[in-house]
Amino acid sequence: MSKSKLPREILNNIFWLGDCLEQRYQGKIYHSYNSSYLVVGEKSALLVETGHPKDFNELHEQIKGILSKKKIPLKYIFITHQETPHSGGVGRFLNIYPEVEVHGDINDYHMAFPKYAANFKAMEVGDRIDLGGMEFIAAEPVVRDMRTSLWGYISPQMLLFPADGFAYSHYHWDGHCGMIAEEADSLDLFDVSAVFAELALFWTNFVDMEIYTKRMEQLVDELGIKCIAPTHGLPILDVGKTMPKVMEGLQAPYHKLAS
Amino acid sequence: MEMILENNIIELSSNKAFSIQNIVELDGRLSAYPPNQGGYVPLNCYLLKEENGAFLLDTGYLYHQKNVLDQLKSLLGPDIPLSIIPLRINEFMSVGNVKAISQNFNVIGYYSPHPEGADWFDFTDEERDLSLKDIPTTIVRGMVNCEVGEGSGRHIDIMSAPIRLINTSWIYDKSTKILYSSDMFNYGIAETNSEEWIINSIDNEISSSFIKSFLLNTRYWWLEGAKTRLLRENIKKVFNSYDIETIAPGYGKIFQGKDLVMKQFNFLDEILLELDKSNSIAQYVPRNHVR
Repeated sequence: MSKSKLPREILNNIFWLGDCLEQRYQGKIYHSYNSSYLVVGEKSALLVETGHPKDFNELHEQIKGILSKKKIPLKYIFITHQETPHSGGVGRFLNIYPEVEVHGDINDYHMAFPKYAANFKAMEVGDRIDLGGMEFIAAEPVVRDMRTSLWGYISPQMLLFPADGFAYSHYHWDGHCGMIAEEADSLDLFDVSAVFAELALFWTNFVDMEIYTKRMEQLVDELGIKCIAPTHGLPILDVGKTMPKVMEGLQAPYHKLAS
Repeated sequence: MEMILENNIIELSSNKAFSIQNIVELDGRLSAYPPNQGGYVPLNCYLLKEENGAFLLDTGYLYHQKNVLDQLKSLLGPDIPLSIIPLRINEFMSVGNVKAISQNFNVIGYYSPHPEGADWFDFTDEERDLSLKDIPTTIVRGMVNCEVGEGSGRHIDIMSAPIRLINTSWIYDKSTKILYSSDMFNYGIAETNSEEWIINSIDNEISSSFIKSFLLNTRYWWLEGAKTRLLRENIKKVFNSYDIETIAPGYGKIFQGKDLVMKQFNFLDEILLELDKSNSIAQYVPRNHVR
């Protein structure tokens, strides 16, 4: 049975999908999301991230439920990078939807999914996909998990998909599953962001992340980002309130190691 | 001394350690290499074998599935208990053929940083094979010591890679003196696809400046101006603790010979010192910034 409480429509025609992944740390069970997002335009739908391999069936059920009501075809997938929790599900989607185009940085996929090599379309920062009434635009990946990471955002909603850039777990025991970040009152965003960075983004232990968090703030300003839809964190609908705590957490592993 | 077998297999230690290789031409589409890098490299999986058991380190891309299965069949009977250790659990090159190998060989265990290994490997066909969930997973966190083949006395150490981008393990096999270094030391690149895939001359042409550039243009863009002291200490610990005669990376040529191994360690150590915040200024590095 799903722990996720998803799907949830976080903005008009933009749905948060997926399921939680349990992580044990210092005697507690934390949950983090391995989210996907479905963006339903007037002409076509785009799926951002294909979820953890274990979640495919549930994710597909969630998508089918939404698209059958909307009567809009799934035409595009965007994947942020070549790690299996982000792109492992792409082969299964292409088995079912062989006409779907998969956009993003396309390194490795011709080897990982050779049967579908022609479905992968390279994107670079600034490239656009028209969904009808909204556009998906590839964006600069400030915090990368691979050298090939790529981010994107939806206009006019100005919703950023930063992959692992805003990664943090949440408290299952406090009912945070399915909540927006601003709804999870008891969540210590600094702490969960710091723990996630320390454990999952090894390099943040050795790099003064201030240069990256500054660039992140610039990017959010330059693009006019209003909301953030991370793969592993709860969605953020109030960037001004929530982003500073997550950025502070991202800097914590370096300062912890220095102390 | 190594022996070249048929079908792109190199025997690194007599009937004990094999490199199972698939050669690819670099054309800017492999995330482990700089986008502007040409040449040829082997993608290396490794089989560690005893009479009554074996370990497979990485399983290769789905693209090479038939080759990998054929290569394994030429080395392993269907009944030999086989354990699989993907050195980078999140990466396609490590896990691409776990499912097919599990369905074709007597796989008795997975080694993974996460419980329920099958949940992480089973993504290549239309449907999941739920029988794979019956194969037990040994959780790898910190250092794990295990035996290749029950009662053989041949033990290997599985450790967290002291320098890495994503979750990565290195393995040391004392009986063959081989360090399996996953995606580090993978800068041995050939100009043609008919070169030797083992380097054993200390006078090879790989320079420190090439390695530094290689690191910054692949998984280690973040090193310039980073605090590298602890990284250096932890790498040094590995090279001081173990008697290493061969470095066997997941990609690229294999380095064989004690002096050559120490040369690679010294290169890395000096580069990390040069990149340390005491000697280099940290700067924001955008995607595709090639140095």
